Amino acid sequence: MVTPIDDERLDEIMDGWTEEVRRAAPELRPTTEMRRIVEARAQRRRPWGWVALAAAAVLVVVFGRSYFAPPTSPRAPVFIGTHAPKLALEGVRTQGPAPLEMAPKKRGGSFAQVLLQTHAPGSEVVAGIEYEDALPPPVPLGADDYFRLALHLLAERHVYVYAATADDEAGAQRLFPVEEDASGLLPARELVWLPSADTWYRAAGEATGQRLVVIGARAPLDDLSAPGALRALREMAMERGVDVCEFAFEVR
Amino acid sequence: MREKQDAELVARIDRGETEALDELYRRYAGKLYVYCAATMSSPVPEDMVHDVFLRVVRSSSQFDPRRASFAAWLFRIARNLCLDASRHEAQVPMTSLDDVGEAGAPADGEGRVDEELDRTTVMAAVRACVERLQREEERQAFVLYYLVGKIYREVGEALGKSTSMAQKLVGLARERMRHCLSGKGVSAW
Repeated sequence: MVTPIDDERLDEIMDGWTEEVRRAAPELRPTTEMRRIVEARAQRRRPWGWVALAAAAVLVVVFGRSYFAPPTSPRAPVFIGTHAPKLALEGVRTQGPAPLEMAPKKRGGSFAQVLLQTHAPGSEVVAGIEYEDALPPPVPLGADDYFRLALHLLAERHVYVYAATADDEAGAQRLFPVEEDASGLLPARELVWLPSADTWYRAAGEATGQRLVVIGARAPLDDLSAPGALRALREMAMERGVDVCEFAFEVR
Repeated sequence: MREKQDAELVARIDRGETEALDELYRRYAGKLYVYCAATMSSPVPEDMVHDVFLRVVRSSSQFDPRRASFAAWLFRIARNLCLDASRHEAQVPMTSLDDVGEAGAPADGEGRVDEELDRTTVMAAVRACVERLQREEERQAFVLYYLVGKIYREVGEALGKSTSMAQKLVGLARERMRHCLSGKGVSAW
């Protein structure tokens, strides 16, 4: 005769089952990749790291001053990416130096300069670079750098990742860090296939508040070259307080 | 106590201490493996464990112990990964727990055969009943319950639900499991 299962017995059965499955697992150990990531942090904490940081700060002060635009609003949208100068020309011309003149592309700038510009507090539009042109190969400034840049700038905000192509999506997944918010509990990333500029706009329009829309989209980028589209994007971002970061995932 | 220790380990990982990573792995990789094997579509649970921990390592600076326990954060990441993976699959086949190692296989040794056979039977029954929990949330909540020390709050945090909702989901799943296991003649481990 079978004894009915009460809570206590169920717990006993499940604990036993859980333990058995665990025991059956293959050996699980941190991989070399994980160790490298952790070790890299230890490296950064060593004294020479601080020296490098100080040197970088000096460079920022020396080279950066002329790149800053005057603050315009505490929660202005921020544009990062290859189209940022175009976006800026669409709507911000009257509020600061002509962004195209600030763009590193025109000055043979560096990633540090981009970082500087995009981190200018309150700057409404900062800079973008056509990295293919700005830096001669094989200097690796690609999607990873843009991603880090966006994260650095918008670390505390919710992040939604929109990808336009399968490659972009793969890139987004590989570059994970954007997908969890500070707590890890609020809505995590949405990784959405966006096959056209239309869906891209819709997605951006649905993002509200302090959310970042990251766009890795070759085809929509091409569509966005139309001035009207850029203006619409900017207006939408201004209206909704959305930060927009756009770039392609084509990493060398 | 456990939550505090876990938070300290994450902080040490953030400071670049690989020993802390080893310890965190020792504590949670096995549980994560069970979770992945029981609830996810991944055919290779150990791969999912790797992916989840890689994300933990990369995002360790974002973990805030004031908002949730590490366990809840970890399983939340695992669940998100699962959801991402399922988006790419038109049909999401459950990982057959039959494929997960040789758990429950009779060990060598005389005098233990009957006991081991019983255990194998129970393993198979539990496996079948867990897979029969059709609501994904119930299955997740039920398995998590046994992996986070039977703490409803952590189950809720991992699933993005309230504690009371977690309790309800686990309660429903337990009820179904009791019926299912009884129907299969299982009464003890």
